[in-house]
Amino acid sequence: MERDPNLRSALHKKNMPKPPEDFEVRVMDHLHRSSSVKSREKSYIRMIYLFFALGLTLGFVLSSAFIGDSFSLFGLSLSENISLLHIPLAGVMIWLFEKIHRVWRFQKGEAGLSDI
Amino acid sequence: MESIVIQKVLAGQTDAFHYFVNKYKNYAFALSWSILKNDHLAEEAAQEAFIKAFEKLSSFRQASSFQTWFGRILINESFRIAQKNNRQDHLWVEEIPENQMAAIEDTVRTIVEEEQKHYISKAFKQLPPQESLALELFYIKEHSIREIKTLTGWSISKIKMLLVRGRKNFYARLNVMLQTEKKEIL
Repeated sequence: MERDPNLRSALHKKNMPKPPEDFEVRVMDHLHRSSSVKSREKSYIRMIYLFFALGLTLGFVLSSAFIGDSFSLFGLSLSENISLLHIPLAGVMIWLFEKIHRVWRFQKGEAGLSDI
Repeated sequence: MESIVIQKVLAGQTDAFHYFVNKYKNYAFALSWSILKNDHLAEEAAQEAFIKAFEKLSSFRQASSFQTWFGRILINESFRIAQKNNRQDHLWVEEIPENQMAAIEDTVRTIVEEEQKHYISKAFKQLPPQESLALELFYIKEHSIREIKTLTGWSISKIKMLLVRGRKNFYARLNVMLQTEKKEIL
């Protein structure tokens, strides 16, 4: 398709809109702020994963230690009433997995930081 | 040059992105203005497009140029803002035959430059967003039809149709303005 030279020269006479003087400064300022928030978010998320892994490992280590020895709680032997240990552990694990799920959704952009 | 800047930005040097803001600010503002016809909204669209481009830079595969990739973000953002603000203040004007367009061009040439600029800008401002964007990309930014297709996602036949309709509409609006002006003088 050929360009109509008359229309071309006419359109070049129209006002050429220009951004305001401080446009660059404002965009860069916004980018700096957003990248500093992003880096804070990243370190926060790294800590969440770290504590999740530590909590999980520690929970397993402690629960196996309790089962191996003859610990008792309110007069009940933990090795004989294993559900006393398993129920709270399962509760904590569900809570931790739910937190991790929220972090995963946040990283995918489906949830905000306040949802974590 | 652009790929070096992209690598720097991806390595965490936010300041390096200034190169793109500086290079494409006028391009961005002109394109968004041709859709939105408003300084404030055009600025908002251009700013949002730069922010989105910065955030999504890691997904830019460099199969096309940065300008094309960024232009697509910008055009989508401008149409999104246009839809949000529901700007539909485009008047319908009667079409004019091809031979009358030459007469209008001659009339425009006879008036002083400052007035030419005024009428041409006003006629362009009255065009529907898709038509004015097609004219801006083809006649002012001098993109090829293929480039416009990549930038907008429109089919080639749609682009050609918008260019033909935009041209007719532009002259029709110019004609209405010149006729009104003539009546006012008389």
